[in-house]
Amino acid sequence: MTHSNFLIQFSDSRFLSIQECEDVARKVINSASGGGKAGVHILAYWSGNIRWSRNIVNTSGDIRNNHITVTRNIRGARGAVQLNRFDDTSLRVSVERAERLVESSSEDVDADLPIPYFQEVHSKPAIWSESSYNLSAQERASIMRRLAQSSIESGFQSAGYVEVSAAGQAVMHQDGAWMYYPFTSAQCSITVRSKDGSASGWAGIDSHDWGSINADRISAIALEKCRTSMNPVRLEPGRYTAILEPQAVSDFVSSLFLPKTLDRIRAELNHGPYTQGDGFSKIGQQVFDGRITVRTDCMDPDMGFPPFSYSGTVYNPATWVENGTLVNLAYSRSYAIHNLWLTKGLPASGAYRMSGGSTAIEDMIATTKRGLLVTRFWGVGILDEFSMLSTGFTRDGLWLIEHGKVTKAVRNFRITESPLHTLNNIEQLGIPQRVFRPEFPTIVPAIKVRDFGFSGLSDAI
Amino acid sequence: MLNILRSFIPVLISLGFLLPLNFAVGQNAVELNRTTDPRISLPADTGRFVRGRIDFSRYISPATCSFVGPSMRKIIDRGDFYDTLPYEDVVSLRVPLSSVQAVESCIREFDIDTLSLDQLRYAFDVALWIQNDSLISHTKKIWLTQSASIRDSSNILLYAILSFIKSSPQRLDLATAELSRLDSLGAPARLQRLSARKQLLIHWNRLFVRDKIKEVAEDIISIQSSLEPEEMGYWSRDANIPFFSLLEVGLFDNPSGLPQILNRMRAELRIFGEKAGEPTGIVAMKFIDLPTKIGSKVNNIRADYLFSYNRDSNTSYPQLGKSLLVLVVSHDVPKSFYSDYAMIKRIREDYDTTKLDIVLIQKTKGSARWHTDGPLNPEREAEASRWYFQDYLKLEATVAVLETSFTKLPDGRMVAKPDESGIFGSPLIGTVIVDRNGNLVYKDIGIVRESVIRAYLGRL
Repeated sequence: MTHSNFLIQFSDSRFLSIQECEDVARKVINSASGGGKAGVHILAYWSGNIRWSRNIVNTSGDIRNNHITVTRNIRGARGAVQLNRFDDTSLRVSVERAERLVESSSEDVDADLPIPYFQEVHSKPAIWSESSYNLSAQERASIMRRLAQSSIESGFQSAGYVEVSAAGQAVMHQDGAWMYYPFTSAQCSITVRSKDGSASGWAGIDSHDWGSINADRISAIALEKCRTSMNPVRLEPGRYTAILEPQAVSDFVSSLFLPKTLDRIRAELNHGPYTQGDGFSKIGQQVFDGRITVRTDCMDPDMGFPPFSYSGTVYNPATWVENGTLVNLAYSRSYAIHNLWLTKGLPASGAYRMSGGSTAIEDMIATTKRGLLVTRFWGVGILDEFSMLSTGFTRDGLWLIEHGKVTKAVRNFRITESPLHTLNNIEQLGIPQRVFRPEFPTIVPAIKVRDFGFSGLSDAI
Repeated sequence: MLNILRSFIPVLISLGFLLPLNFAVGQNAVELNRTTDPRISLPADTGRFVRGRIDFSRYISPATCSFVGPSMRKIIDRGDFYDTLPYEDVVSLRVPLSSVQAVESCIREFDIDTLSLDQLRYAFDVALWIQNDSLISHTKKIWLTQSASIRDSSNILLYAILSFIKSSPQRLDLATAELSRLDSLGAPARLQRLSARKQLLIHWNRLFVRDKIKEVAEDIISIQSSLEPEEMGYWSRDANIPFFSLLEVGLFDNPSGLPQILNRMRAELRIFGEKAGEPTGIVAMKFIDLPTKIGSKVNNIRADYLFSYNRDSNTSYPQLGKSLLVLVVSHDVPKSFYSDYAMIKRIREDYDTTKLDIVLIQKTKGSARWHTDGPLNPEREAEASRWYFQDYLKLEATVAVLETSFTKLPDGRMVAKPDESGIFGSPLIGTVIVDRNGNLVYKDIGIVRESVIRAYLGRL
């Protein structure tokens, strides 16, 4: 099955094809009565996974499900029903129940005009992978055995998760809007630990294409990190020069590029890190180091994500930050028309690519007199929405760098730091690479940052 | 059942408009008979111009009951936002009668003697919504017995008074009775007494009942002059409210008497500010030069696009022999135009097109809410406004559209330039009334109030 004929019909439907989605949606639209507007949102998906810990399989699953949301809107009164069945009776009943909810919902007198649903033309990223779709349960088990074997042979214990999935996302509205897009995704993450629980290493990655994931390399990295994490020493908390590997960068700074954080209206209402106060955002101001550029584009071949959301919002390509200057924040189509006199919205999907440098991590280490090398962060939470001051822990590999060399493993730290501060204290930037963030494809570089706040010791490994 | 009441509280947070598929509608439902149900003893809801009503009465189940609470809350919030006048045939937009029956059927199982303090307040609210006087009284009595101090009691009484005032005109007598009880608590409850009267004053201002306005305003002036200095700081922002009300009544009764009221206001607020240790803001600019303008001739309305309600492009406004009501309408229609729409329809019932011209003035914004294909040039936007007011809402009103000058901010936003020329030489906001001879009768830059407009139209 190829991407092109996928759009026509599946040979073996593990999820709803374009034709099946359209049939379901049309049944819903046609059974609506009583005026107003009807809409249907469908996410039909299949996923296969295998999870293991202590070198033994815990679960191996094959999941198929459908999220179908039926919406009715009559003079601004809204009713919505979710279901996962698509037989005629269920669909008809869902419409009836949505209409009953409309009756018990207040009409929105501000929305009593028949405002049509507007469908934008969306991009068509190549995010369908045959190797993801065809990775069978037997192959997943075989991969797991192979990945765990290297840990067993080395006397370590491994835990991990491999998942491949495929989905069709569709939106239909009574005004005639109709969109469907199929996509696949794949992820692999592995933790290797010493049997005495004193050392741990982690590696992971996700992509739409299982064929682009080198699971053996992931396993080898995790194993090596564990091996070199043995016998960690305790260091005094404080501010250190830190080299954050790409995964650590993603774990720590991604909160700056979430849809909510990038929301322009929020910033103009004096919320979040990009607010200037008095109804203005920081658009036009330098907010990060001058080398940093942040973009999102579903057509980015390394990023690739569905071109519209479950609700039907089309993701247009955007540059959020250019050479450290905030050039855009996310806004809806309505905001674009009413405030900017533009015709397209600029919604944020949460996916992003951060670029700006090309220094190898080895070179960063070699130029560091004393600092810390961080694999990743865990449990990062935001303490303050304006400065984005966050706290969390280092985990699965932390090392001391002395005189240009990694010298010893270090006990984990609690961190208390602002990603805004971090992205303004950069010494070196690496080559951007895809990291593990399955919900939002993310491409970030390693960075070397001055005065990173390691605020306390942590006994976690 | 207490469980039902408890279920009201978390759903305020958890329930949006989305309910799961297992929302029980048919099963366990109680069908109410509106005409024979003994619990329903309320005046009929004619529903005139009260679009957006909720009708829960058809489906009563525990799930419905839990849905009623937050929905009612939404209506209350929206009612506050629209500042809609309470009318006798409608309990007010805040509490549509058609939903009262459903709430009543939900609450009838409550055992209020076992409720906690928070739940008591909520039960009091619900009792108020369903206009169950015995339940209101019982709830408040239990609530008061649990208060340990004068401060607690005065706060509960204040809450009850505010709720009565907000709920409906029918509850004003209860508010007045509670106000007497609050007054009997004496000096420690001075601030609560002032707050209660402030809400009462706002209510009478909405209805423009001039005797009541004067009475309550004088009460407030009297009480606020007796405040202790430490209390004055709390009240200083509100100290000018009674004077504004007196000025507004004075403008109607005797415009030439405004200077005396202004002088009194300045003198008393200066003393208040000195005692409070902080200056009190005196902003009464709109009243200062009005006496000289009232009665003067106004020029014809000039607009970039003028769409007469009778399609006669030669008509100019004001027309001799007809009164003229000019309303400046926000860019954001239909948002926030709902109450104006209802008001215009009601006014037109009493003043047809032979007696009164109504002109709606709007400035261009660059877009219209129901045009989702993109921004609009002024000509298209003007036509869109005409379509909305005259064709869609079918208002017998002339639409005058003025082109706005825009500035592009550095962040790309298009914002309107300040425009001081406006209509009749005043900033383009508010309400203007012109008599049959083309003389200015009333001009206000505040919110549009039907009661005030009707009072002025009534004596033309």
